[in-house]
Amino acid sequence: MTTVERDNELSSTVGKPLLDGADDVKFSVRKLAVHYAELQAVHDVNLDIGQRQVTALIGPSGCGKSTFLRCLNRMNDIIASCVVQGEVHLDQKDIYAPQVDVVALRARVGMVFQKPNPFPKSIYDNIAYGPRLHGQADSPSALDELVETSLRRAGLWAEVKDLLHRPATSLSGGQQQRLCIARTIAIQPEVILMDEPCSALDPIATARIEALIGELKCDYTIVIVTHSMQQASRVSDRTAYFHLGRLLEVNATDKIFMAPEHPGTEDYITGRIG
Amino acid sequence: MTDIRSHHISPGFDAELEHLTGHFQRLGGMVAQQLQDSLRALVTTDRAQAENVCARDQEINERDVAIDRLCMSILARRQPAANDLRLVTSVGHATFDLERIGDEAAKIARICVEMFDAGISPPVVDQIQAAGEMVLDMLRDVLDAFARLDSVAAYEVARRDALLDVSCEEIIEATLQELIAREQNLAGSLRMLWIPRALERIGDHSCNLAEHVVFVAKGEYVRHMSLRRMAKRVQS
Ligand SMILES: Nc1ncnc2c1ncn2[C@@H]1O[C@H](COP(=O)(O)OP(=O)(O)OP(=O)(O)O)[C@@H](O)[C@H]1O
Ligand SMILES: [Mg+2]
Repeated sequence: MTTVERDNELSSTVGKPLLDGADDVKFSVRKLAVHYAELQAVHDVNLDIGQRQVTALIGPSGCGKSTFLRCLNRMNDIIASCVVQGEVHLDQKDIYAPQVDVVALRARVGMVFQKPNPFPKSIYDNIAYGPRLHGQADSPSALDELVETSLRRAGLWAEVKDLLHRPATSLSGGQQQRLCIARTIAIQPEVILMDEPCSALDPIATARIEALIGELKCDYTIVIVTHSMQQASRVSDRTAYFHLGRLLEVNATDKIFMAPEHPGTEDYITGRIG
Repeated sequence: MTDIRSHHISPGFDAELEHLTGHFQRLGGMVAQQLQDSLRALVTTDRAQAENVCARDQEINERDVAIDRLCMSILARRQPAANDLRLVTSVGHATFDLERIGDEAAKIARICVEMFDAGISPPVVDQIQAAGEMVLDMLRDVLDAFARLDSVAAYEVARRDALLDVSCEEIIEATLQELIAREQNLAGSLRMLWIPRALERIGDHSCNLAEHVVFVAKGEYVRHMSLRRMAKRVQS
């Protein structure tokens, strides 16, 4: 089947799930279905994710956002009951192909979780861990430099530069989350997946992370799951609305928040009983 | 105005939107009444009624500010999205149009007072009355379309504006003819020409209101659009 034929028979998602020539496609997801044993958590999702864009995934609790996100770096592989079907291509290459090195894939597609999860190590070692693992710094001074630039990019350097050897767990929640972002950036990924990265943070820490997302998208492709409609509307270029494991609508974020096409999207973002 | 849609999870938000649209509709009713009264004052040479219209304009201005405050408060506290966002911002814009219609009605009443005091009998009153009824119908119908978020009905109002414009031009022409024939107090009588202009402006504001209805109902910007293109958007 040609791409065009396949795209024409795509499922019921309204809006623009697929990108046309104007945007570079980083991920292309086709006919994705995910099961946890008997339970089907994701149904027939077709979606392109644009390079150097922020794509927000929104939808009610349990609709499959995290499950979908974890398919993008094969994080679901570690869940025994989880079966992923369909295609996920990163730069036009199937990430579920047998020869794919999953560790290398996760270095290209980093992830920031809802709860900051620093390793029980020093601030410095949290950042240095990934580059050491992937052999990305060939001298101690190169490693120092990588730690500093990563912390700077995450907007944390000024606060921690004199405390680099303190345990990461001594930082506040917002600082720990920025540390986790710094740790993700240190590996120099191409994509950063974020699953509700600000849900435990105060408005100032949240604003910092949102500002950081705005800067990072110049170099990285970002996919963010968020329960905050305001956050999705502030940070993202495109928004995808999931409902009961299906992708109901994908559109430019402006369109979604001013005049969505699907009544289900409208009910959800306006806080109506659907 | 919101009761045709499903309810919000937050009943307080529903109540606030209903409060807002209730205020808006009441202002619409007041403004239509002002227009009707100013026209009646003209037709019946009722100076007291004309004065009343002028006096009530202040209340309309106050209500305009109150609605603006409500919109701001909802935007700040609820951060509405999608059709709620369109409703709140459009009520804000539409209130501006209502307030201007109120100004035009007061202007008609003021001219009546001046005419009556100068002992000038206004010319072509029948024609003005007919055009006045036309624009009053437009205003009432567009307020009704707003209440029901009916973009087809809104479009029908916008369609009638061209006819109104023709009538107003004819009134201006006829007024000039009659004033020339009368050859008396020409300078004072020329003020009469502002009345058809006011009716025309009210027609224009009613068209703006119609465009807001389409935006709230359909999410389509039809401002500054030809009627043909507007018709297409409305039917889509
Ligand atoms: N590890 C798992 N094992 C079994 N079922 C799971 C697992 N993770 C998720 N599920 C189920 O899959 C469905 C989708 O869950 P998922 O976590 O993807 O939703 P979500 O949209 O991220 O929700 P939330 O907004 O609450 O985080 C749910 O019904 C959930 O119970
Ligand atoms: Mg989740």
